[in-house]
Amino acid sequence: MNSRGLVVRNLTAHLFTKRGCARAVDGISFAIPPRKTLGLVGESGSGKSMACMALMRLLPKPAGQIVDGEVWLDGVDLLKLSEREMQEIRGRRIAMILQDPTSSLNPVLKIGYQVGEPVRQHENVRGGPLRTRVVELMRQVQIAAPEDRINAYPHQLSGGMRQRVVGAAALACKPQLLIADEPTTSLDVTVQMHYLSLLQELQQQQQFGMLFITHDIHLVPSICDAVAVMYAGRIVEQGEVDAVFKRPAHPYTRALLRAAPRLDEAMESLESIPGELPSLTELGPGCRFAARCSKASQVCSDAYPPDTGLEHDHRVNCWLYGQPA
Amino acid sequence: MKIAIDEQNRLVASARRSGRLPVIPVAILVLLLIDVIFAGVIAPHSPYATDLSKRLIPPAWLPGGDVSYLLGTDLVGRDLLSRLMTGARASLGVALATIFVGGTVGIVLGMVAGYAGGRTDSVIMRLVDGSLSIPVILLALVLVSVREPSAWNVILVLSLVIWARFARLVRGEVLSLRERAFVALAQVAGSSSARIIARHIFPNILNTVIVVGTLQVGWVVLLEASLSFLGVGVPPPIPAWGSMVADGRAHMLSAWWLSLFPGIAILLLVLSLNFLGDWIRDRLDPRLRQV
Amino acid sequence: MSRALISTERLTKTFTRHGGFVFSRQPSVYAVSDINIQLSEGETLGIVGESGSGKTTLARLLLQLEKPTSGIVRFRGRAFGELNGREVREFRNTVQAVFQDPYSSLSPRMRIGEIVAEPLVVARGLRGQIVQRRVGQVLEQVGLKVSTAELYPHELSGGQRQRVAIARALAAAPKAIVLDEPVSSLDVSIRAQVLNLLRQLQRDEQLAYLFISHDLSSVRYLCQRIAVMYLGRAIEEGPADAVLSGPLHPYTQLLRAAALPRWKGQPGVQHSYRAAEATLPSKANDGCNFAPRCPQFNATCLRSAPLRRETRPGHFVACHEC
Repeated sequence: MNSRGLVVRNLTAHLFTKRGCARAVDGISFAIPPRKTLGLVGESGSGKSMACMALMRLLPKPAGQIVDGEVWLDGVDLLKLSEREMQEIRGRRIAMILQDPTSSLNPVLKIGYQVGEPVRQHENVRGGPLRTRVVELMRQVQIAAPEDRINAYPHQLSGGMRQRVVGAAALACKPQLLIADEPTTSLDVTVQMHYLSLLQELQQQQQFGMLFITHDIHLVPSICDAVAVMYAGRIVEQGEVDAVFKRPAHPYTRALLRAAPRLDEAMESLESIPGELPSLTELGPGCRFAARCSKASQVCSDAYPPDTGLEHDHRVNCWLYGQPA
Repeated sequence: MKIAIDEQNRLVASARRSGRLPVIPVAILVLLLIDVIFAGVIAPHSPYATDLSKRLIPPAWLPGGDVSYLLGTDLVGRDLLSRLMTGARASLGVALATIFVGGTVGIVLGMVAGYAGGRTDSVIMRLVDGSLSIPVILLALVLVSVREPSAWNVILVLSLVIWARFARLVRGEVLSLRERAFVALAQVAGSSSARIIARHIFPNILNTVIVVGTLQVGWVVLLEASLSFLGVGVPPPIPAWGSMVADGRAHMLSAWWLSLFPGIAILLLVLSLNFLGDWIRDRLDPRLRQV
Repeated sequence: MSRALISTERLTKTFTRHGGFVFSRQPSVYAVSDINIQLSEGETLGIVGESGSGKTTLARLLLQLEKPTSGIVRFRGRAFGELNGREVREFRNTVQAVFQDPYSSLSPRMRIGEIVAEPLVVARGLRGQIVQRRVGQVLEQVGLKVSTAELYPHELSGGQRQRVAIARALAAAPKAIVLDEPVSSLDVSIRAQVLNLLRQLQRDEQLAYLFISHDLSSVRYLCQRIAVMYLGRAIEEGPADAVLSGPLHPYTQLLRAAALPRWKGQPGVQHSYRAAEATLPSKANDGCNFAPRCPQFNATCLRSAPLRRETRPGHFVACHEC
């Protein structure tokens, strides 16, 4: 596999618990070409965060195990690397921003130290040069007066500033791929908007690829080039943002797009999806959305639909598009 | 990169196993409890009857041993096994009574402090700080010197120490429960403070109390053993494991069984209690791992 | 003119901040400052604000879970302090609440049936069969099976729990429900179910809602009037359509812009706003709270807090510049 960027193939990661085997990530495939952003959308329990933990090889031990699949970064299969080699990848070539900036930062260390940590770790830079580098990183994420702020502690910053500091630390070693797991969910809406445009600016400057994980499908068009919609461990639809948002194919994607109230039009009633997410330990052979789908037929609960190509790279797993075998 | 199906099944099976009841510790505790209740009936000999002709018989499997004195006899010919069986009463009985008395006082005061807040809280918490800073052994020595030594004294001394641990923990729990939305909603529904404490607060601290109670029993057993070892515990001739270890001290080389078996008994009891306590904690409330 | 169920007059709540080490007391923070709102029977009022806006404190003040520092909360025109015991019980029967977190809203050791019955038992003093029947009735009304009453909260999903919380609020047949972010912790697909349910119930039972949220879209979906709060003050208030289609205050404009869908590469409006975030006000009348972030502030904004004025009938704004 020689293509550049990130290519994930049939990634399968299960949680082995007392209640049985939870198929949290069940054979997902996607690709992020260099400099592009893929939005991975799903509700809680869809497996989106597990998927990114699996490709970072940071699943909770001993319950979480990668069962199958390949994760290629610029032609190297990360799942075949030793733990030592993987440590070199994390923070240096793949960086991560998590949802809660407060728990992402260590409360007793100065923020300058924490921003410089990846540089110290991976590039062995110390002293004056490190300081200059840290100030520069903090200026990049628009922290005012970075020379003074490097001596501040996390609690002295607002939530939005903390999340920008987390971003500065993540980008410190110029990674090829940034995984942002719900980076704006804990921020206020007005701050969220600012953070997203900052991420885009940084991406243009530094040319990294991005995996943007969110539960809010309406954030996706503002920052992503492509989107993958996850439901109960599987990607049910993926494609260019334009195609998926203008011509959503899977009934789940359509429902998600219509389920949120809109600001620009008065609505008489919201189209809601009946029922709830199925239990990941008791999945049948069929489509996982079948029980909640208004278009479901017998075949939907008998067999999982094939991965069907619609146009360009727009793909969907739904019997409405694929022929029963 | 692929994990085969039977390997997957094995992983689930091992996840299931990790949460199972610790069978051996529980069996030991059940046997000990039966022993505490029926020691008088099932002990092979009287724990008090001396017989100098039978003194210092080694355990049955050693040369010179006697099958009717399974674990041997002591300096005055009393059956070691019978004394151990009776001694469980002192160890476990005192510990359980202490947890009951100290626990009840601690829970009540902790709830009052946490819910009332303000001055009441300050006063109770200063008492807690005070009793946590008393050296237990010293307190026991003083109390024994002013009162007749008795098992009740030991329970009193240990309760004076243990209540504070319960009170502090319960107060912390109540403080955080008080901020939970369901308490605010109960107020919105018009509930009185008494109802809120009884229906919403108390049931929610029970888990914590049970977990901590179980884990504290082991600690109290050790304390009681230390007091008995120092001669300020349950008074002779009632056998207590701690004092049995102390009595055998002088004969460690010639009659090692005198100290070893009560020592093993203490070890087994405390270990079993801790295993059980850990299991209950993991079952009820994994959040409490640091306790 | 409909009757006012709850109204406030110059309602203010300050908190003393305890920061840092033992004795460093910091000046009071105005969580809620000078709020005048009114909730009439059958009316839906949305309170919009971000974190630190004081919207949750306002809810707690209206529910009598906090005492105001100054100002008055009135129930049917009577100041709360003047109510006698019977009237307080009447208030508890009339006004119920649903909170954000469906996990902490339900007492984990009580069965769903007992939880839902609590308002009936406590405030109405009812027992036995009547309670059972009413519990079954409200559970069905929120789309749950009657048998749910036998379960414990941990056996339910987040969406089901929030339905239970709503059923409980409905049990004593209240006139008004204070809803503090009732859908923001729910998943999108479940959120739509609950929003639809709330709208249905409001129409069926002629309920008054005080709906508190950071999400303009769900406020628009559920409310006739909205009030926008920023750092403890109500900065704009009016009919939902008017406020959202033609927001006057720069902060409301910013909120609206943030909530509108955008495409990658399309420029946002946020660049005219400074990145600075809300800072807690420690003094009451010392300029406009939003001035540090406002794109159109002038010297007056820093000197004095703008007063609330009516620009069109029923549409109020507190801003010097608009």
